[in-house]
Amino acid sequence: MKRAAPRSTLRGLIKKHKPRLRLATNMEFLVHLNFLLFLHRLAEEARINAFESKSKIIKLEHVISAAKITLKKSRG
Amino acid sequence: MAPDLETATPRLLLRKIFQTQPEVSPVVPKITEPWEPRESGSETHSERLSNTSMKIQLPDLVSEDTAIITFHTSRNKRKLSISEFERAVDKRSSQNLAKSMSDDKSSTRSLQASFSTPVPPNTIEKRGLLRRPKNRKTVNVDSFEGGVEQNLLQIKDAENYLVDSQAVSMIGTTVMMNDTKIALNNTELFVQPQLSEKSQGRLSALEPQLLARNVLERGSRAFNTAEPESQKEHLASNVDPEEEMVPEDHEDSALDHADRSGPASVGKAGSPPRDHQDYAQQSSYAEQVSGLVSGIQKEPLTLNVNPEEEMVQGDHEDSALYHTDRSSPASMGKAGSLPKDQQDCTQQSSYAEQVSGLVSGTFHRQTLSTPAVTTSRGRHLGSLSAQRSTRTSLREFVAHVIEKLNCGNEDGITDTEQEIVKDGAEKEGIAREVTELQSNMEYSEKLGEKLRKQTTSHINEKRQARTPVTPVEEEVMIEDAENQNSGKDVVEFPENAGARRLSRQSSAAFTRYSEPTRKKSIEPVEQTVDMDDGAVVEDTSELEEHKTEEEELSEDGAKSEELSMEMPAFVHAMADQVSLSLSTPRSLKMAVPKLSPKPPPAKQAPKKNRTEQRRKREPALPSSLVKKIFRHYVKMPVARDVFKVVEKCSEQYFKQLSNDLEAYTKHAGRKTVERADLELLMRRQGLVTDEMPLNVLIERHLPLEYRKLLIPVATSGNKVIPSK
Repeated sequence: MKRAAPRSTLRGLIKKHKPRLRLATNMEFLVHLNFLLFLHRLAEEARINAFESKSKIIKLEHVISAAKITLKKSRG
Repeated sequence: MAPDLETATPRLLLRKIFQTQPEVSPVVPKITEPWEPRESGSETHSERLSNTSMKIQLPDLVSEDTAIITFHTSRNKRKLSISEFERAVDKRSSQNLAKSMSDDKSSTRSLQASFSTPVPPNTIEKRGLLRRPKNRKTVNVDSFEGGVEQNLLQIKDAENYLVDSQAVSMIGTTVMMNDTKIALNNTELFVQPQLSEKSQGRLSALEPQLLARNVLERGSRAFNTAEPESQKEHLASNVDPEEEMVPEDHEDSALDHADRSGPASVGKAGSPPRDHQDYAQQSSYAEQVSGLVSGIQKEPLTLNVNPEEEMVQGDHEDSALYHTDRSSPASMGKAGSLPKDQQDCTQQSSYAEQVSGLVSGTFHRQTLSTPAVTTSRGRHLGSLSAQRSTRTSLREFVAHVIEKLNCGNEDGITDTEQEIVKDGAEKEGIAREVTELQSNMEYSEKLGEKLRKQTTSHINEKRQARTPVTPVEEEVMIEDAENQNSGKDVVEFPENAGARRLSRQSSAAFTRYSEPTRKKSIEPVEQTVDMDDGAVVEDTSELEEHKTEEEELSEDGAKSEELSMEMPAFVHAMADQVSLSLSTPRSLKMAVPKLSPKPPPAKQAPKKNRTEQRRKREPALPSSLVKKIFRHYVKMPVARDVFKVVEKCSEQYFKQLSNDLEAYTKHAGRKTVERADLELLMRRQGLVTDEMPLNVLIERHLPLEYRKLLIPVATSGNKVIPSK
């Protein structure tokens, strides 16, 4: 069960960081897609870390290390 | 009678049966019973045919039995049914019957036939039965229906009896069937629609569901806020309830500010005290998790302080923490111990305690106490920004010191002294931070200058003699920084306090430090160091001229040296901040008398600010959405504190994303982000490759509605959706 992409929130977010930047129509969905894929990657990395540490629960350290890697990968 | 030969042939009989068959209602099989006995003689054959055919309508389970039963009953109840029927009929329309009997035998017979069975009207099979009086009166509809219902009831009973052994579903079906039968039996012209119980139940169920959905949607946010709050509460579970007041304040305001939908970043429990604007604003700054968490974990600073003060402290503490961006070890316990000793004074005293505690304690302590001080004073000053809060906190810090002096609480001072001795290293950090805060504090520059001038010399003289470094001195140091920003505060503090004995030292240090701190903002570190000492001295001298500055200086000298050494770094910072410091209303005097009227204006102002701040709050993705998506992707149980990290990570991600997009669009010479820019971004991220085009990703991860918008679809008739 997926929720709708928060279009206005995404627009506001980008505007907050870059007030002068504009977004074309329906571009929020691609941004949302990007965000989904980012979270997907993050989740994958965290899962791998948890596996490696033989833990059945995703813990903080797994996520933190995963975040570092994923953020680096997500740099354009 | 006569045409027996013609009508009695089986072929004709059957034909008549078929002709008359439709006239009989298939739902009313039992109706034949009363008539059966009468015509049994002549019509047994057709009757039985009709009966069996009619009874086919009954449920298969019951058909046979009922058929048998009907037969039996018909046999047995022959007389009864006839008598009943005749009675009813006689009541209704004897005349009609007579008429019918006399006038139109065929019609009556047809009616009779319709009621009883599909019996050909004119067939008389057996003469023997002819002797039965053909009192076929036109049956009244009501009596007919009544009889039908009775029959149905009988059928029902039979059915129910048979159905008891059946599954519940069967019962349901039978019930339904009964209901339908009854409904069908209702031969009124205009049947009023009646909602069945089931449908009614469904409707009623739908409504609450809809309502619940709406409520959930609206409450989702609330839940979101509640969730982080609950999480925070966990974090803060160990904190003193008093302290929780403060962090809660922060959290709540922070929550309001940051993201109503519940940023999980804030890690404090939330019991929002809505009375302080400063807190609200400060809390927004204080949202950052680490600081808050550390703040929460600190021991209650002011166990004996009014909750207000505590809240103030905590608030300031957090804000101060953020501003200074320090995370000193949480040794709040010391600070807490200090305030315990002082309870004589009002808030001021508590502030003083806190101030002293802060001095001796860690930086956090200081911030805690300073907020307390500043809040009491600062409220009046109306500092809205976090900086202001810190400044006010510094002011309050100074006020604390002064109050301490005034109240003459040596215990606190001694305690502070002890703590000062203990936390030598921390002091440095604290002092630095304090000085920074002080620089933020708004002090009347006049005092600062004066003090500096006077105290520089004194400080130099007395530095040698300083050994007992009273915490007051440190406090004064701190206060000096505050004094710089709020000179009047310093002046008024001693005025208000009125304590002269300890105040001497404190004031000496005060002036000494205040001056240097004031000057710090302007002059380089070294000078400020000296000035600090001088400022303190000067302040005290101004305040209490009869004090011996020398003594004060001597007292403060040693300490002042130490502190002054530490000050330089902060001095710079303070210098920078002084320019930014807001001009606090130089009405510490006013602030003092305003202590009582504080709450009312404070409430009104914070309310406005809070709502305003809510509107200005930065947009952030709803944490529930992030949680959901992450959970869905990770497919494993996740610890609760993980989501905060994920939230932070996503914020960072959006920053990167916006930067990249801006770079791309600029490179393309555009001002609007287009699809190509996003595709380029994804390509560089490695999400889109030659093997994996963007459209495939769109189709995979986005719901259909969005896919339609993004990918033009060609439909018949040369149509393209979405149309360009």
